[in-house]
Amino acid sequence: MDKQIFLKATDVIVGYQKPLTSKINFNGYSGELICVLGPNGTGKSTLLKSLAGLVSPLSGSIDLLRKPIKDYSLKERAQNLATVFMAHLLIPEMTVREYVSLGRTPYAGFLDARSEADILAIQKALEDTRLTDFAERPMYALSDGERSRVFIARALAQEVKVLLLDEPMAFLDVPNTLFLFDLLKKIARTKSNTIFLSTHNVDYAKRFADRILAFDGKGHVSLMDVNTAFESEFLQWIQG
Amino acid sequence: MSLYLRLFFLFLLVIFFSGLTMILGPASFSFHELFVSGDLNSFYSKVLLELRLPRVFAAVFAGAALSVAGLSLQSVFRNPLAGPFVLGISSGASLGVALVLLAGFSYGSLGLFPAAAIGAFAVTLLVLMFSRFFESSSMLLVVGLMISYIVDACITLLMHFSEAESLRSYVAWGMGSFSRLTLPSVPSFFMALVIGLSLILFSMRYLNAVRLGDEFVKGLGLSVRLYQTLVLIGASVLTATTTVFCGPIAFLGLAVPHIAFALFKTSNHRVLIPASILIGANLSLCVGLLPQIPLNAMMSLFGVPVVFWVLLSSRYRKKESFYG
Repeated sequence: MDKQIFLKATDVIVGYQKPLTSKINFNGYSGELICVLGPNGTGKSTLLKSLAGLVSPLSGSIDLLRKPIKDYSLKERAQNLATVFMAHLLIPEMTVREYVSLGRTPYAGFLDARSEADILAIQKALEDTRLTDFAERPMYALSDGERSRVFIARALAQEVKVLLLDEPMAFLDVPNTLFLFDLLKKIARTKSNTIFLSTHNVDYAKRFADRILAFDGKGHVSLMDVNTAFESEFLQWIQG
Repeated sequence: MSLYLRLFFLFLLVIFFSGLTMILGPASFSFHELFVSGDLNSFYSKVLLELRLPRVFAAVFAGAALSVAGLSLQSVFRNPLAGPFVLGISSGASLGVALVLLAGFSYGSLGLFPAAAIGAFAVTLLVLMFSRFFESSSMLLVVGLMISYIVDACITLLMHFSEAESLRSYVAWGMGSFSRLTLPSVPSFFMALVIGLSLILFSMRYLNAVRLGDEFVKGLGLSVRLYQTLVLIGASVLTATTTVFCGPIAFLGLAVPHIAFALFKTSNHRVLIPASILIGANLSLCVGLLPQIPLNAMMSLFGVPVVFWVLLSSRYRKKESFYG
């Protein structure tokens, strides 16, 4: 299958009142895992939120599946693009299955019922993230690693084309981090998704990513091949 | 017990307590007498139809309305202390009644019901107007509380400058009662209940996701502003109507959602809403069994031990909420 452009940024500048970046241009293709690398506070999360349509960019345009993201209805957007941001609230008593089931909200009617297809998608998401045995556990009884998988499972249940994840491995140990990188790479390949993953695990990013969206810490952002990125001045800050 | 069995059991309890409300009362008589005489104009059938039947409706409707209002407000504000009282809606109704009873404010035959309704909806509109300026729901909670403080202060002023006699009737109104509803008003109470409930049922998807944060809700393809407004209007209609017909009723709206959480162990509103309706109806029917005692006193004296018992026996115990 030919690679298609799922997410396209044209002259995008992100920030809140002041611009955090200069113009950003890239094409995100189907089936690729793109790792977003950059120091804290340089606009990684803001860019991901802008790509998700949750924050408007200061200028430029973002196309999701060849259509401007601002032309999508909220529901239609949620059927094509899912986000996993770590800094959201939790309901401690909620079970894993209930949480993952929220991923089907964009397909539900106003009474929020779940169809057979929904239940299958939820089951599949739990299997892909190896959470089947935890399905009836409440969220408070999970380890950090398991919880990160639950967050990702919810986004998988959403059955989208583009996944945006903001540091889902922040508190994880080596085996859990490896598992997630491997899982996301597989998802990108098998489901032909475009996955943007912001992370501070530079070594794993080098190993697993198809391409790197590099922030140089001075406002410049560029999407490059992995080797090019690590040889370029964009990732100078890694050396300290 | 399966989910549906538990809900059905609660429903049977509602039937049982409704029957008990019909049978028990200051004027005691046997149904045998009633059926033997077969006279629909007799004293007994008048008691049943005009006194006790409306009381059943009042208790069931009020219980259902306040519980659903409390549940949805607790979810929207992500606050276990939120309830129908926090938005100042009950205070608004009280102010309307206080103006009539204490300040002698009346245009012709403006009764207590219209006065309470005007007060309640005026405050509701005020809160909704403010809600347009605040996206964050916790700020809205603060606004609601502030408005109710102002309204309460106005009532206190009115009370301070009023006669002992009118003060007494105002205080009696404030104690709440299921005996004020008349049979002809039952359909309007019911209609308001249906409207309020429909608005909240329509927002089910939002209610199920809202406790995870506004950004999360948007990510799932739902408009925060639209559904927040719908839920607020729905909860306001439910609270205002109940206060109009039964007076300000404390406690139910705050407590019932917690009982529903504890008994059904889910955060899915598809279960919690029917559960709250049934639990609320049961609680208020129970409390209303003794119409001689002020409703609000009974509500707390009887209800608080129930809530403690439920909370202590649930898995809520020793589980700090956390943020991920």
